[in-house]
Amino acid sequence: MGPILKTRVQSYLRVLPWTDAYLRNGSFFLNRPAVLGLWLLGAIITIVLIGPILSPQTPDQINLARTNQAPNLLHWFGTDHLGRDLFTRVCSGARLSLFIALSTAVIVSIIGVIYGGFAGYMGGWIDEFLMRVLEIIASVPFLLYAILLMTVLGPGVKTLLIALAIVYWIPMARVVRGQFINLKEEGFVIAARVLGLSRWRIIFGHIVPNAMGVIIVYGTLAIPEAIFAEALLSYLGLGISSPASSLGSLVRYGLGSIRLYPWQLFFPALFIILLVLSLNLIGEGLREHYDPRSYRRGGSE
Amino acid sequence: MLRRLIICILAMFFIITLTFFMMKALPGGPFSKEKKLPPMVMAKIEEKYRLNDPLFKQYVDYLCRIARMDLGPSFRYPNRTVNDIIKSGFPVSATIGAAAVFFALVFGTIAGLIAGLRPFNAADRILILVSAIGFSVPSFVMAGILQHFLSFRLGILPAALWGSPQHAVMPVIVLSILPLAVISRLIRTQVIEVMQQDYIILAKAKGLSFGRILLFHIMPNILPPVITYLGPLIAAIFTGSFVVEHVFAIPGLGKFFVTSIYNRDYTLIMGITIFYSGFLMAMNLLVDLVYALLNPQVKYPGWEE
Repeated sequence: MGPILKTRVQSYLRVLPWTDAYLRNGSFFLNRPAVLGLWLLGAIITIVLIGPILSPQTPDQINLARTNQAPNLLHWFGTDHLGRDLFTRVCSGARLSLFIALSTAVIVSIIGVIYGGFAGYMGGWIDEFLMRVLEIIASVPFLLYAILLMTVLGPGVKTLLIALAIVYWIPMARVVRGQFINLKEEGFVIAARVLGLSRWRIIFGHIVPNAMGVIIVYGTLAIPEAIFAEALLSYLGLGISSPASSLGSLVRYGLGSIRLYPWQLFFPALFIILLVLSLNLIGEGLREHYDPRSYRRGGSE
Repeated sequence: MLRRLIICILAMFFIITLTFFMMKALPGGPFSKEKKLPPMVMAKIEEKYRLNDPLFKQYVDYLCRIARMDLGPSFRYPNRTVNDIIKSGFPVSATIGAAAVFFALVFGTIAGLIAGLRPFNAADRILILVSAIGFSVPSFVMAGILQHFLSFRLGILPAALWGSPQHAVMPVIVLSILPLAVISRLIRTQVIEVMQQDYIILAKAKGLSFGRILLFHIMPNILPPVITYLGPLIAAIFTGSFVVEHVFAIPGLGKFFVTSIYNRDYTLIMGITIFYSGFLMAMNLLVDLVYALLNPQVKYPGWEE
C-alpha cells in the first residue's frame, strides 16, 4: 500500500474509534494488567453463570437440618444460618450485582451522552446554563441522593437503579461535553453541517461515534463504582434485602457471623473484591488506550 | 469567586427544597408505629409539630428557621433538637475525618514519592499492587476483618465505641485506605512526569543536593493536583464515615444519620442532610481558594471542576 492510500484508509477507519486508538497506541491486548482483568472477569462470569447449573443446590432452599455448615462437597461454599447453600447464593448475588452495575453503566451513558453532547454541541448560553444546573446537582454529596431515594421509594432493585443513575451520569456528561467541544470544530462536522444535516443527526451520526472511546472508558469505570455503591447501600440495609441476595447483603450477614463461620464472609467478600479489581484493571487499560493524555503521561504501568 | 458563592447558595436552596418535599412525600410518618396512637393524641402531636399547616406554609416556615440556623426539634428524641445532635456528633466525625485526611496525605505522599522516583522497580510494583487492592476492597469488609483480627483474635485494640485514642486507630485506618491509594498513584504519575522536566536536569547539573531538589523543585510542582483532589477526598471520607461509624459503633454524625433513616426521624434526616451538604460545599470552596492562592495561573471566570 502506498503511503497516500494508507493515510486515506486510516482517515476512513477513524470513524470507528477502536481502529483509531489501535493505529495510535497499538493493541489493547498488549496491556498486561488489563488482559489479566479480562481473564479474571471472564472466569467470574463463567462461574456465576455455569456454577448454579452444576451445583445440585438452589439459592433459596431453606434447610434447618444443615445450618452453618463449613464448605464441603455438597455445599461448595458452606451454608448460612438458615441452611441455604452459599455457593448458589453468591452466584445469584453476583449476577444481581453485575446486572445492576451493567444497567447503571448503560443508563448513565445514555443520559450523559444526550445531556453532555447537547450542551457541548450547542455551546453559548445553553451550555452555560446546563453546566450550572449540573454543578448544582453535583454539589450535593452522592450518598445523600441515594439515601433520600431509598427512604422515599423503599429499598429494591428499581430504586437502586434510579439512585445509581442519578449519581453517576454527571462525570459522563462532563467528559462527553468536553469531547464535543473539541470535535465540533473538526472538518467532518463542518462538512456535515454544510451538507445541511439535522442537528440530531450530526450529534448522533457523526460526533458520538468519534467520542465513543471516551464513552466506553467512563462507562466501564462506572461499573465497579456501581458495584461498590450497591454493596455499600445493601450493607447499610438500604439496598437489596432478604430473600433476594446481592453481594453487599451477603457480606452484611457474613460480617455478623465472622467469629464462628468465617466462610460466610470470605466468599461473598472475595467475589466483590475480584469483580471490582478485574473491572478496574480493564477500565484503566481502556483509559490508557483511548485517552492519549493519560497514555502519554505514562499512566499506571 | 462571587459566581461560585452564588452557585453554592442556589445549591443549598435546591437541596433544602428537595429534602423537604421528599420527606413530605414519604408514606407513613414518624409517629405511625405498629401500635396505633389514639386519634386525640395524634392530633395533639401533629399540632405541636405543625404538621397540619398547609404544605406551602410549612415550607416557608422551614426556610425561615434554617435562615436562623435552627434545624428544629427531633421527632424521635423528644428533648433534643437537631442542632444538639449535630453539636454532639459532628466533633467526633470531624476528629476521625481530619485524622484520616492527615494520614492519607502524609503516607500517600511518601509512598508515591518512593514509587515515582524509581519507577518500575520492586517498591513501585508493590505499591501498584497494594493500591489496586486498596481500590477494590470495600471499606465495610476491611473494617469487619480488621475488627475481627485486631480486637477479637489478638485483643490489641478495643472493638468498638469511642473515648480513648486507641478507639480511633481502626476507624482512621479504614477511612484512609482508599484516599491513600488514590493519592499515592497521583503523586507517582506526577513525580514521573516532573522528573523528566528540564528544570530538574538543570538542578541536577548545578550539583544541588537531592534533598534540595526534592524540597524546592519537585514538591512545589507535584502538589497542585493533590490539592484539587482534596475536595473529592473530603467527600469520600464523609461517605466512608457512614460505614465506619456503623461498624465501630462510634457516636458520630454518620451513625445518627443512618439511625435517623431507620427511625424515620424526618427533621433529623433533613437537618443532617442540609448540614452535610453545607459543610462539603464550604470545604470545596476553601480548597478552591487555597488552590488559587498557591497557583497564580488560575483564573476564576469559567473555572471548571
